[in-house]
Amino acid sequence: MKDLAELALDTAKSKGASYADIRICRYRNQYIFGRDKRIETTADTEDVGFGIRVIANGAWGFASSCKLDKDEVQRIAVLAIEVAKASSRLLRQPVELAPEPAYEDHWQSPIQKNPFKIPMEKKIDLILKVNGEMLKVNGIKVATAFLNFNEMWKYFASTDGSFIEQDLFFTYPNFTAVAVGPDDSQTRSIQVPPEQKGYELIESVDWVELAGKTAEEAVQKLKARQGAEGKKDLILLPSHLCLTMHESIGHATELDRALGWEADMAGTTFVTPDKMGKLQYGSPLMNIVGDKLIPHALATVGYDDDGVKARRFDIIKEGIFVGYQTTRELARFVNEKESKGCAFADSWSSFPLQRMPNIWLKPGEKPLTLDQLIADTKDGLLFDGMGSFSIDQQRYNFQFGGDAVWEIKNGKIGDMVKNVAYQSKTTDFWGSLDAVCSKEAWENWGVFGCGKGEPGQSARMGHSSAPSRFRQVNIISAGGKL
Amino acid sequence: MILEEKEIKGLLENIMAENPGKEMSVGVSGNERGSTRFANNAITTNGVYNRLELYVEVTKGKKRGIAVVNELSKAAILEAVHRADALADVAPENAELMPMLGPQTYPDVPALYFPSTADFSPGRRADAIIAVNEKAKKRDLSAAGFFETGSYASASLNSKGLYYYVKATRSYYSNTLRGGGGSGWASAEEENVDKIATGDLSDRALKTALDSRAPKSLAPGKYTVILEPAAVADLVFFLGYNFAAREADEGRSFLSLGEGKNRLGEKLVSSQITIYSDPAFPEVPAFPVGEDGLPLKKTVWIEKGVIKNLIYTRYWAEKKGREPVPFPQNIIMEGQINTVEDLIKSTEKGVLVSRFWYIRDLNPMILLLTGLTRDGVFWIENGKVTHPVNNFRFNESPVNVLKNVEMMSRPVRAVGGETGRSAFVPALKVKEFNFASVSDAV
Repeated sequence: MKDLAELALDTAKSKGASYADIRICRYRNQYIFGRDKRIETTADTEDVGFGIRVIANGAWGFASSCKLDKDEVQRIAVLAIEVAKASSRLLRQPVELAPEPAYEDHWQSPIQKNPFKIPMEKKIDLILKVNGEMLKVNGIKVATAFLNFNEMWKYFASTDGSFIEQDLFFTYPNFTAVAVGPDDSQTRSIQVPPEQKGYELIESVDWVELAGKTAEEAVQKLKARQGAEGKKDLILLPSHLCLTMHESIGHATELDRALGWEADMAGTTFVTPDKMGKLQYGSPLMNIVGDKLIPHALATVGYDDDGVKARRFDIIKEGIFVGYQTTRELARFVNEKESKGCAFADSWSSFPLQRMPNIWLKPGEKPLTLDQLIADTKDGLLFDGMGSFSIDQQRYNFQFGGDAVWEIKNGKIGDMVKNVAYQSKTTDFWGSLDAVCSKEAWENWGVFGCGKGEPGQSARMGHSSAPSRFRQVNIISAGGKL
Repeated sequence: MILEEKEIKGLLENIMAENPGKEMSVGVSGNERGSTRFANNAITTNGVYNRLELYVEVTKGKKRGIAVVNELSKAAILEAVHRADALADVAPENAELMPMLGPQTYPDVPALYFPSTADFSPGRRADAIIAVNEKAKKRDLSAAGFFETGSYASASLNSKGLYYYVKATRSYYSNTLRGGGGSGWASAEEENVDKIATGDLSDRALKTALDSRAPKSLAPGKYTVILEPAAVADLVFFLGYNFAAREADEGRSFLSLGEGKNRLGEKLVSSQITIYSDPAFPEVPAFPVGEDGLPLKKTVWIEKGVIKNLIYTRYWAEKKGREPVPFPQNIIMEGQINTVEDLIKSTEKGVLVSRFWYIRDLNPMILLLTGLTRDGVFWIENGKVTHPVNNFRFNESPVNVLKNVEMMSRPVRAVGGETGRSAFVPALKVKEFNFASVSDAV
């Protein structure tokens, strides 16, 4: 592998590249889908190839191929140079990369059981068993499930002298019960997050117990009354807050968006560079960290796709916005001397973009359990899991639903309500944060398929938090009839 | 990587010949794309992308296994067949698995492959982008966008003799011009890159960017709106995504009527509305191949407001004693002979919407969607556009939109800003459209 990488880098240099890197990747994906005690899909996918990225005449060029041999590596390196030269005709300023030491290293997800070595029969049995448990509950008409296992093997080499091999594993289970009544249908999913773990994730959960409980909750949701509009205090569980953080903080603090690089598709952000160190993003309880270090979180790596060693950094400190996510190319635009390590490409055939690392909310410093937080709430709603989600292109106005929502009345959890969502403006919402549970309640969650860029790329990232309370947020009702 | 039909067919036949007696389906697809992104009046990234995929599906009665690899070496093919075979062995029987289809006859469709698109170079993309950026700079605007050209080929063969080969090109151009508190967008998708008028698209985005500066505030509420074709395309796609008969029969969709019944045959929307799919439609042609290799024919979904067809998978069709109706590859909505200007002239008070963004389901039982306006929202008074207004979040159902249509323009090929796909749709004048909250975004 090193020979091929060196050939690519030497060819690029000899044709005029001031910088070049190559990523040789092999992705493996196993997907099993079941519905109603039937297995509909057992699929195994393998995808191998390489991408060469160069800087020539001060501009980026990129080319890729799935044919991994010496001739093709040389052809693609030359093609990448040609592409860079075409780009350089419309260059605002030459690309400059923040310095980063050279590394020769190997990094692997800390897994215990390689999911691809677990017999397929075992996975199929689990799906059939959980389907069956869900369908036992009166009112459940459909039960769906998938198990998705991924391996991402990457070999990165650059003209800076890095040679880095990484092997990442992901496990993503999903089980959903669908309750159907005469004029409504509602779903509820088992709340277990995808993580960078092996099959031990599957074995750590009592799926049968959760299947019954989840199916019962789907039926409760079907029978629940429509939620009313108005202002309520919200307690958001980590399973739910995950996506709210992702959309209203994660994307909003991407430097490429702030610079206008994503203006045509994903949009820009209200968090402009002049606001660094000044913007009151939220209440003083709001401490947001970016990193690629949290064990088992979805964006955790040894090195990013620029070859930058994983690191941790503050994004929001005591409610004040203090730092963007950056790459080697972006760092200089905010006068920083080094990258925050946020480059990621979803394939060997994709150009690395600035993508979110794990972005998480620090737990509260004072001891506070979820039970205590609920006991301290008079009139609120408790949101669990992800539901409908939408946010504008500058990350001001958002609206989120949940997988399940319960009323909180006088310090106690009450009835479930359905068809509700909350709508707010990012800084108003985070300004209303008045309690964050302490570290015992902190959980790893994440988003498995986040789209960005043109052509579109999909990434995954962790968003951990402890249950948190937001005061007097606007609730909208999504009920009604045709 | 694009393979010509002779090469690809020979490859598939060889795989079949080497696995005699095996019930299987094999497919090869490949694409070659080049794309250039720009932002802040400069090219940011530029790349060439090649992909290849070999798909092997082995069935053993009611059991099935699938393997996909991206190599065509003998060893890789052997490994893929072996993997699919092994997966089929361990898969339990799926009572809903339908037998493979035999040979099918596909309708002729207009040309989908244009060498001018396949051969379009990074230099020519750069030429177009340089022109757009010069135009933007002269008006003190910042241009961002994306220009992609490429070709695609796919073939499939199964052990019962079903075979097809399709080859197509696609070009996609999008630009957003921003500055001074205004933003404008325009986009086009065509099989033939020569039809992409980048100059016109940049003029449109530039005009909207200038016109949308200094928006006045307008409160949320129900308004008469004129939805430009890009906004309509997205709503119609979301409607189409939810047209499955099974979900309707199972009581899980806005098309459910309870007790296993659905709204097929019901007049659900305005009698002015007719929506259909047809791969042979010249303005938005499509592959004539659907689920499991079924031929795609002209299918009317809504005729004069009445639901005429739902999507029936092969299994569900058999269970319900109907013909299968595959998921469509294109959408065509009939309109009227008006122009968008005619719609504006007829409006006493209303809101003109350029496009939508971030559309998601809120309640599938009434197909309630949420999303936002973007890149140009304008107030109309006494038949004239008077000034720009703020962006909104909407919470609204396309069913209500199609119930409340008052007037339509002549349909055009338009790309949905959210879905990124082309449909042939008119602009719509719609009463009582629900803007639920204000967005400060520009």
